[in-house]
Amino acid sequence: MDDMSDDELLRALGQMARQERDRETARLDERWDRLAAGDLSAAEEAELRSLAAASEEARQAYEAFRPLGADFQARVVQAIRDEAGAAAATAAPPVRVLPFRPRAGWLAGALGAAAAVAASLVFLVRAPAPLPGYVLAVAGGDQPLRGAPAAAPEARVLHPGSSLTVLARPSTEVPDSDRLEARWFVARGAEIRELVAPRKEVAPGGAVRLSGTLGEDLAIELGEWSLWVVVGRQGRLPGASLLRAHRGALTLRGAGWIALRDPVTLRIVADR
Amino acid sequence: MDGRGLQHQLRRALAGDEAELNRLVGALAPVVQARVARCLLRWRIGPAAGRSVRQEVEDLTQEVFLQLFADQGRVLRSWQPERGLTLPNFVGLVAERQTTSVLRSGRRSPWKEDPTLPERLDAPAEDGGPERVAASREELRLLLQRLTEELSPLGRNLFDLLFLQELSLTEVARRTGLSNDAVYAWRSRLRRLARRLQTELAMSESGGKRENPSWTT
Repeated sequence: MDDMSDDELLRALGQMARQERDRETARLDERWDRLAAGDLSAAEEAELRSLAAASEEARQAYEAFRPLGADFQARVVQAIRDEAGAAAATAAPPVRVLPFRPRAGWLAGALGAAAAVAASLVFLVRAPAPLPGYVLAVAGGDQPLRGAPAAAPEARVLHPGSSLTVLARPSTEVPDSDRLEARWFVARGAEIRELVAPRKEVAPGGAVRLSGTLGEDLAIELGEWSLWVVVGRQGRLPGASLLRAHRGALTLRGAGWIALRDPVTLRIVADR
Repeated sequence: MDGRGLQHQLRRALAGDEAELNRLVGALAPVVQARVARCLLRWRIGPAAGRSVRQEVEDLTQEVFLQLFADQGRVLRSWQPERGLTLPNFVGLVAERQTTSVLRSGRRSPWKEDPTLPERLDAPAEDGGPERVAASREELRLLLQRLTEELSPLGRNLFDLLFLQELSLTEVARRTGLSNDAVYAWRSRLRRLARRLQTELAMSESGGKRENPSWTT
């Protein structure tokens, strides 16, 4: 590749792009795009379902392309509004333009310096960048980490003495990870309870680990619960009421925070 | 809806019209989802990766929307229908770039258990052949991916028209509303960018140096 001329290099890149496009079209034709748009006929959708039933690759494609739905769209709109609201709340105050004074001397210099400091402060308090996507891996009771090749369990059964560990890993590094905090909650119906996290770590880069042992340093009542983990910048984490309002969601986002629900039910029992 | 109508709808949504924002997100969500899904499935290893592809699609789709609307819709405001890209195509290119960037830089995430892009890129070329040819193909594929990350939607569209579809300068100028001179200048810019990225890749075999680079071209 080093000995190619510039034109040859671009032609080779164009050819590579063409081959990749053709290969992808052969594997995932335009029906998949129309699945996402909800534009398939009943017969076409049945065909794709049939493909999904026959192969793991097609099943994953079906999961990836099936319509995201109105609830998802509402959450996106809410997240956009939250981000815009946070940015507006921390936006620069209007700057008063000082009239030019030909002989202002040291005062003009001082005002100029003060304006420069104010401008840099405004820069510093701008709304933080949104957090990247996070992925949850949960280990509890005798169940393996979700994310292992084995199929995910229907429920995670915990009894006194069971440990519960949650890893929340960002898809890209979070640059200001030293200012991250995390909380975890259990929820059933409208009931939401925050758990104490006896062991809590935030790794450089933004990964978070929370863990505890049931009956020792972790208290959860008997029954079935959903497990939520919320990661965000200090002082920006949402309250439990927001999780209650979106109890069916798997991921929620806001300005500087992300909340993830473990899709596997947590079942707390008295005995092994 | 034509380009002018969409621009109007976009302006109203960015000005805070909630009904228009809802309509816009509803119209663009399938486009973003499909591009994200294609990128993810292109680079995933398969079921052994273990994650829910559905959750990844949702997360990345939402990230793309947040990027589109960040800074009072700076990215969306840069869409120019007269340059030949429809709004869905423009947004699709943004989604592809963002997803590619996240997947590539994800290799630096701590405690990451299911690597995606780097391993796929390091795998032998599907066509087999002599080792050198396979290595060159992988280098090219990596370079193409970096180009996708680096280019603005307009730059990527021009690359596709000039080098993927191999259209003449005149035809590209006609389709994009640019002058012949402007298209010629873009072609030179693309040459320089490809060469610079190739040099950077050669200097850093490990890759993944930049995260979410801003558009330079």
